[in-house]
Amino acid sequence: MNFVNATLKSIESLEEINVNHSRLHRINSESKIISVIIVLILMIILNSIVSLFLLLLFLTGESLIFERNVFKTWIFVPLFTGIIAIPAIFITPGTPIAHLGFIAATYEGLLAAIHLILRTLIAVTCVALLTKTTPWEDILASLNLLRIPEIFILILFLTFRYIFFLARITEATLLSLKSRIIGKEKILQSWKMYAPLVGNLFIKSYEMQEKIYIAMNARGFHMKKDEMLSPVRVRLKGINWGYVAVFIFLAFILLWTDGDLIWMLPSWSG
Amino acid sequence: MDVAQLERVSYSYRNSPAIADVSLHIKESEVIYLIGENGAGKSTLLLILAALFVPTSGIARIFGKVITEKSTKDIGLRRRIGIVFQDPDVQLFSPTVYDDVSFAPRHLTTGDYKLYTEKAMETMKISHLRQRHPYELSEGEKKRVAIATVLSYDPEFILFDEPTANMDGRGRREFKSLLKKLIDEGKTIVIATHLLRDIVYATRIIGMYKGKIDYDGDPYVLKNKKYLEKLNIL
Repeated sequence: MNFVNATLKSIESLEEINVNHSRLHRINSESKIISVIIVLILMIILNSIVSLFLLLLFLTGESLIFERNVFKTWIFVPLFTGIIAIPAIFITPGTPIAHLGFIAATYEGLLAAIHLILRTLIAVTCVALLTKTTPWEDILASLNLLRIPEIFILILFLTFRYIFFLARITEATLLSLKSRIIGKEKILQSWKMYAPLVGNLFIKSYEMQEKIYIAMNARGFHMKKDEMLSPVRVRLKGINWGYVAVFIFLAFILLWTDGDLIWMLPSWSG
Repeated sequence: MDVAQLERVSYSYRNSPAIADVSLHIKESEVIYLIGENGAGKSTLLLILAALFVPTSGIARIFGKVITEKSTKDIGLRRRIGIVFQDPDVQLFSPTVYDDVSFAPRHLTTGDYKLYTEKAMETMKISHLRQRHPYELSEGEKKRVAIATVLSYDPEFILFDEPTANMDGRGRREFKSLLKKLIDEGKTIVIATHLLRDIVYATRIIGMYKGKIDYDGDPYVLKNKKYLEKLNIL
């Protein structure tokens, strides 16, 4: 039942987009996309955990001021990244810091796990900040203006449109399950219940994509992104250089200090 | 002139036959109702008439053009045919209602797409929904928007798949008056339904049973209780 409730809540939060109108909401989407690209490049090339932490701290501050809903997306990070990060603590060769039976957690493994989690949090936060403060069609129009490949924009467009539909089907199915669950479910029992549900969703989405393609074809769609983006929205508003400059300055500082910050971590002496 | 000619048409979904050996002629300004239980092949027949499905066997001609993979993408043909799908979630794929209604006029018409869009939105009384996301709407509203997306490019041949499903009483009444308007404009209309109470202005009834045309004639068949029971729609 807890799983059902948690999933239903996360589906509800999926639809909470653009409800506030902070200053960040008013900054044009081209500027925000450029800032996201800067952050993602920094996330890849920064080596120091301290630099990555500072970058995350900056994004956290931005989220606290402008859009607190972003933090809801952090719930998924330990769930998905944890699965990959935890084994890394044990399988990365290096200096042992703790023993768990016959396997040892290593200092290098721990650093690798922290690296991975920090990078995931940075990526999730900056993308969530963008999507929660910008209308989706503006993001697509900006990607178009920034010469992002056509097929990529089309996939994003259709994913966005139908992720809500799939979420609704999931919500309805989970509610129907919830109405038939009495008492506390056992883990094995719940796996048995949810496995067919996932299969069912896969089949439904497969059938749906065929039907949608036919419906689009019926109204003259021939796989061109310009057919998707309303001409009213495709217009260049001009980049907000003040906003972008903050990110360029941040990138400059972090890249400059990254080599020095890497030595700030204590080496494990055992 | 025949709007559609189907000669011994069959269609199968991955080895599972949906319609078999269907022959049919549709003339201009006819108002045809396809009746039959769920799974009788009504929707598949509509998709062939809409020039979206190529028959597995047999020949389908729509506005004189033989339907092939190539002709399913023929813009000239597309602008003459409109289809309203049973599930509006399939039909509405744009970020806002306005984008969805203006989608076809932008690609299929030569005039000012804004005029076509506004007219269709006014007809379906959805102007106030223009900036809403289609997924946020109620089922009845979605259905009205789905109909507007087709009316917006003014096709001659309009197909409706269960148009009044999920509509309340007022919605159904409004659909009837829309139908009257389209008939007055001389449109050729085919409506697939299993709801007998919503059948109005029919000039011809086609009864579908297990993928085949079981009846093709005048609407008096609707008074034949035994036949309707056979079709499993009573």
